[in-house]
Amino acid sequence: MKLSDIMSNAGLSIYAEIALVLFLALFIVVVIRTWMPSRRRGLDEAAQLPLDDGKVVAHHPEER
Amino acid sequence: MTHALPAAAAPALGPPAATTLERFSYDDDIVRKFLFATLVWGIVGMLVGLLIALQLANPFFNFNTPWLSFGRLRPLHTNAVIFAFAGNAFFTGAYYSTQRLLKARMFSDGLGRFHFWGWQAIIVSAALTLPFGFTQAKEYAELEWPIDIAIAIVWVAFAVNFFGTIARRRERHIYVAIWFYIASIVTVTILHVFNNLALPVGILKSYSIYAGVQDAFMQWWYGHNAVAFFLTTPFLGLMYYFMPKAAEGPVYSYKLSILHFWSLVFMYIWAGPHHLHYTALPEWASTTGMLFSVMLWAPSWGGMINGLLTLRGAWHKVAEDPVLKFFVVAITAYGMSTFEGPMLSIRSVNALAHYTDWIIAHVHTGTLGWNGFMTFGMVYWLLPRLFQTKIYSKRAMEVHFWIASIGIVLYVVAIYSAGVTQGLMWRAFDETGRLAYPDFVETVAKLMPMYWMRAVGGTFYVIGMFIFGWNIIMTWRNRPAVYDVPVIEAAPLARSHEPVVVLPEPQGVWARFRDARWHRRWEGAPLLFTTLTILAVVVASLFEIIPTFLIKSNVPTIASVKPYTPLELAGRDIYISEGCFNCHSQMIRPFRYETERFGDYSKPGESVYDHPFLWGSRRIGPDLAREGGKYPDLWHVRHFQDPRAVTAKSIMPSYAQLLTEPTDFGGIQKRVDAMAMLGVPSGDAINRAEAMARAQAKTIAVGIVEQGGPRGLEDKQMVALIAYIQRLGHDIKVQTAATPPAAPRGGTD
Repeated sequence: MKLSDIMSNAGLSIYAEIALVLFLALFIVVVIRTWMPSRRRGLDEAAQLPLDDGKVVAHHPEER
Repeated sequence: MTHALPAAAAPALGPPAATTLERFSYDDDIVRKFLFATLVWGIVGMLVGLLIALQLANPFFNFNTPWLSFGRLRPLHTNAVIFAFAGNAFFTGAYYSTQRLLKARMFSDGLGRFHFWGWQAIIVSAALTLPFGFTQAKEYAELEWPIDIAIAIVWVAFAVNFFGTIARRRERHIYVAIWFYIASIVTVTILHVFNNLALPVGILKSYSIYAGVQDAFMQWWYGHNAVAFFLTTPFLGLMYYFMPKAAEGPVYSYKLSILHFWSLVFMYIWAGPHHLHYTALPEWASTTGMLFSVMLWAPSWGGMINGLLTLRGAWHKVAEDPVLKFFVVAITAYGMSTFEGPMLSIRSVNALAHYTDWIIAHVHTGTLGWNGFMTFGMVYWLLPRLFQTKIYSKRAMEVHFWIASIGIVLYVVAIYSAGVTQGLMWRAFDETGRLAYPDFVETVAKLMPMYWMRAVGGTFYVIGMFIFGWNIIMTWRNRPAVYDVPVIEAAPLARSHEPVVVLPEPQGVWARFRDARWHRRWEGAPLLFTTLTILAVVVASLFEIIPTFLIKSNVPTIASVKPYTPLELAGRDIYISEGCFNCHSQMIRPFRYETERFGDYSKPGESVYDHPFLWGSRRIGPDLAREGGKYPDLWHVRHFQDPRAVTAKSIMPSYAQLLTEPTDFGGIQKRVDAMAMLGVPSGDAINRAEAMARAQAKTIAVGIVEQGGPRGLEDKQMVALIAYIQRLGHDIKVQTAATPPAAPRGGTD
């Protein structure tokens, strides 16, 4: 008996639906936690990150 | 230079954990290197694109030279623009933004240089192998196994450098652009490894370990996600960094960007099978692919809106700043192609568009518009910062913007028209119920004006590239004698990121959930984050791919389908190395207009011995799945020698070299053995493949002479290729004729 025989008769089609439900549940968790009021301040700060290149304290010449 | 300067004393106000501040600088040298590589390969890749566009408008441009023929150059074009142009552009932006977002120099300058030179060496090796016929025949994964191994090594070096930088970061929160980079790096690794699993039979030759339907499934799982995780997510990361930079304000909604990210990671990986609608792929797989593709529309447009609205309050700047102009068109093109992608994935739309130029138009809206314009905007924004001088010519930027925009419009309008025209002509019936255009070449000749217009559009875009290059070089020439390297000061990341003021532990499950400390912990753990991303990608992949391998009903076998004879296998390898699959499909869809034209529709069981599968994705010429037996051997000799001597309006390159190039009989046994190792029942051929091949070649060569053709072809590639072509679709006819399975034509000696 080959692995494909076992798999063909194992009735696995329900697994795909379980995966879909799990993915959807996880997605809903992501949505909820993204919009949680407690996160607003942190995310607003995060949004500013690209605009901050760091505090320049000195200059150092580099041979090109 | 050193990148960890002596630490300075901390200011008095710092938190207790950060008693010292660290000093460091960013490595911009590597960014400059990648920027130049982007320019050089962009010009090369697009010039090759222009050449193959001209070849379709007039076969003269194949110059009767094998290594300049369309079939061999088309993969060079796609590889050069995807992996060399867009790849180097992604690396340019990623090396610049990652360091600044994480407040850390790259983990290792040496690994960065290894990544740079390694990647360029891979591109050079692609240019040295693809035109000479060394190919795995899988779209965007054509490169042969030694180069694939090199890609894996260089990619891992990049990943180590990237994750090492994350580990050493001085910024707790990992900005969303970095998430997109992480997803791209890990997913491309998985895709590359699994799609390229092959059995080598020589230094530059291998056979895919998968066959037929399974190989097709793996390939388009890879192919679609190469678009997703090489051309989409990396550039979205760039968008989320450079758009706020250029607009001088934060992204419109950071929350939306998080949602954008997770939706793409969850959904993209499922969408691949929409490339195989109405083929021999099981229907459930194609439906899954379609549904996820349609769902992708929502997050893609969420991301587009997020990008465009980042300009809120700054719209007046768009008129003055060419960088923003490039970004606005790029994001609009992202919106257009991510609307069109889901639409094309709907089966009934796909029935019309598949195998036509519509797909080529769709792809070029995405690549020329989204990837090209994102790159141009980003590079123009970087130039004054990297070369520490003003941009040489703002006017040239404007000219570049307009000429490239006009180029895109000319290109896509022409090719959309060509696609719809050809799709409609294929399916047209006349009033008597017969095909209105039974001769395939009629549907090709009709496209010539549009192919010329495409070449004009492409020329505009390429001229834009030269203006771009000139502006870069002139700006670079004005650079200072010595680059100024700012020294940055930042606190190292504390081991714990709990708030300094300890709050009382929240009571109850909901309170703990709302407090969201668990989440901050989670977010601070890039390793866990990466693992979750991998999990989403792998789980989705397994659920979609495993059933075709393990559930028997997905690939029903057909008793009359037998393996190729040794000579046919050799001919098939010539078919592969000439890139015939770039223009000819071998997959007849179950529509009346297809079966009328080409014969019975293709079944999954027909390609069980096809390592790799050769279903193709475009019909510049007719489908060949049932080509065997349609014409006598001599017809094929004349046709390969000079296609226009047989079909006046054909645009196929001439393959006269097949009359003189010798067949590699000596190497046949090794190839048959490799097939046997992959599970192909080779029978007698396992012991005497060469003798069998020679005998079959002799039979065919004698037949050609009897028909009035040239002598002495028995050891030439022409005969091997004809043996393969005449075998196509042969076995299934044996079954329908209800006769016992006969040995393939000329298969025994």
